[in-house]
Amino acid sequence: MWRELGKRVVVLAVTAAVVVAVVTGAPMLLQSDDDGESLQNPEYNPDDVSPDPIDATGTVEPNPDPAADGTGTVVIDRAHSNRFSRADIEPLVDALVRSGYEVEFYTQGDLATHLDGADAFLVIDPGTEFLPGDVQDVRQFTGNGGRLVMVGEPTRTTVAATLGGTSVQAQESRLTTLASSYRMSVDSQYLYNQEHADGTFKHVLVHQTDAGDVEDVDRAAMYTAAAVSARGGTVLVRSAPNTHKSGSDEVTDEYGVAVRRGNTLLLGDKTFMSSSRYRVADNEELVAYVAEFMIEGDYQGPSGATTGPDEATDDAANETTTA
Amino acid sequence: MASRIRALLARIARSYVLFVVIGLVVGLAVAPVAWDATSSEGTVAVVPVSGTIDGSTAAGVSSMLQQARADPDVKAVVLLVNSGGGGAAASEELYLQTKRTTNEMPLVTSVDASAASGAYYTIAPSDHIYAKPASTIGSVGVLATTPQELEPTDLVATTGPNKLTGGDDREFNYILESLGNAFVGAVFEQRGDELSLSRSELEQARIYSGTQAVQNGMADSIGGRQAAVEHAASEAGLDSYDVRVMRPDGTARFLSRSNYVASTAPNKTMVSASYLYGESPSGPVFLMVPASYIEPAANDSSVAANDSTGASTSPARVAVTGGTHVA
Repeated sequence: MWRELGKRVVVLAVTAAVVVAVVTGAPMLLQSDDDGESLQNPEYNPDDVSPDPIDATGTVEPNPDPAADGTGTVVIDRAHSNRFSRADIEPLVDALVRSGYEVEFYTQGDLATHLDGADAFLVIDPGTEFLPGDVQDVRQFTGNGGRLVMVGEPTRTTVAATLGGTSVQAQESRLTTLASSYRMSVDSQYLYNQEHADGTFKHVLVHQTDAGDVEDVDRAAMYTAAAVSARGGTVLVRSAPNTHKSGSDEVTDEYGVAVRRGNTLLLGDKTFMSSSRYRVADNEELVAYVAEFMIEGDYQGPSGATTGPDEATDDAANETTTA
Repeated sequence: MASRIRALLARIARSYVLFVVIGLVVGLAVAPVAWDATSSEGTVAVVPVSGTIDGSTAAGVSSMLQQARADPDVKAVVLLVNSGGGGAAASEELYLQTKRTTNEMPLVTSVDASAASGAYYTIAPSDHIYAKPASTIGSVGVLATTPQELEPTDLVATTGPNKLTGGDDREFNYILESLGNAFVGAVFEQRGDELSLSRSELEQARIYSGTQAVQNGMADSIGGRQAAVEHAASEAGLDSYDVRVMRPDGTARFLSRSNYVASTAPNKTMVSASYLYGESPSGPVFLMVPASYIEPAANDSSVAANDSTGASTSPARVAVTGGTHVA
């Protein structure tokens, strides 16, 4: 009897084993094994995808002409709703101070009085135009050997708080009146370059030209810059090849971003010299050039001065160019 | 009389006629079933990709594609796309899923109202892309809110100078650029032979109509869903096939009214841009959507009312105008 029972138990066990094997094995046999294969993604190769950041290690070391007197004053415009912070100008101010120069701000009053005795006048991204009287004062200043540095920006969009909440507004560099009196202009569009950029397309790379006197700026970075131009002037720094103006996606060029005409220098970006950006690439060399340009100003008082040939006596000085 | 009837029945019983008739009846009854059982050589699975691509969308579509790959009856997949993209990571997940699927079976895409940004990322590995003239395709790029300058501060103590922001805004642009490079690189990896656009042109992140997309190689043909199904079946070598439309669980969320209108999703709803950004974004949010899709005035009535006064904005609005966002 026990033998017969044992046979039945064996049959039961074999049956159960077969059932378990069929139930568990069949899905595995039917299941696709494709998901087990690893997916190759060569398009995500980190070396190809992640751009190498440009080094940011430089220091500003002005090396002005030995003929410069080694002391003087630079006046910075604060009377025209200028949009810059202390951080935007600190590297430049530091370079001037280390070179023995004082820095003053012009906030109100007679501009000619403030400029009298100064070596250079720095105007950064004004929010209001210069009045004709002020333009005349500046022209007299540069005509007497003073240096003028204008820094513009492309028209930018900003968010402003209002009583009803916030609003989006266009913010323009109001340099037309002053710059055009020197036959200079700042474009309203920003430059971009998809190949030569510091991180993103609006941070364009620029380089010195052979025609100008800027040195050691093989590659600098400007951050949402505008093209600048000057009739009869010299382009000191140009954007890299294949640079676009916003809104002109089909047209590329190497646009001037720093031009000089006599005692006047016009730049299309203020951010390259800010505390967080002046070390990038050769930006420190460009900041040093701006400092040297101002230091080398040789202003002579109005009593004994002669008017510069390229400016105050220019018949076409009052022409207004498109900015 | 009875004997005659019995004789007739006996004759019928002995003849084959009755059995032939019964055989015909049974055969005709069974034939359709047998035909169905033997005529289909496989199944074309239709997988919808509807609405904003977020984690939920990605999980649903991924699940459907996994089911399709695991089902031995499914021989080809058709993606039915009606989306303007969404979150960057979710879009990348869908790209990897469709790429994996195309490694195993034909995958053909039919673009409905749009396949923009992250949605185009999703369909880039397709063997063939059908679009309609009114479809919108493209916007290959990434946009993000930029980190706020928070250091130095004593409000929050951290162990490192970049703990609050993750890095400065210059470094952030390199991060964003790497996301964009991965996106553009993937599109070129999948469609480099078809594209007539250069890498720079693709990076400009334009939107194209369906016909323009066929011209520049971002799509292959003008056609609708039926064309896509037929093409997928042909690619799989199926002369006769079943079509199985798969449906995701949950609700499809739309930022674009045109996509919402075009969608056949049974559960769908419109959402405002704050669904992606939040009410007050505190950190970077990486998105693969056209900036026009997150214009709040387009689909958020409360914000639209404010916009009419010119006194309203949001991170999305600023993204549209290029103020503090990188697109």
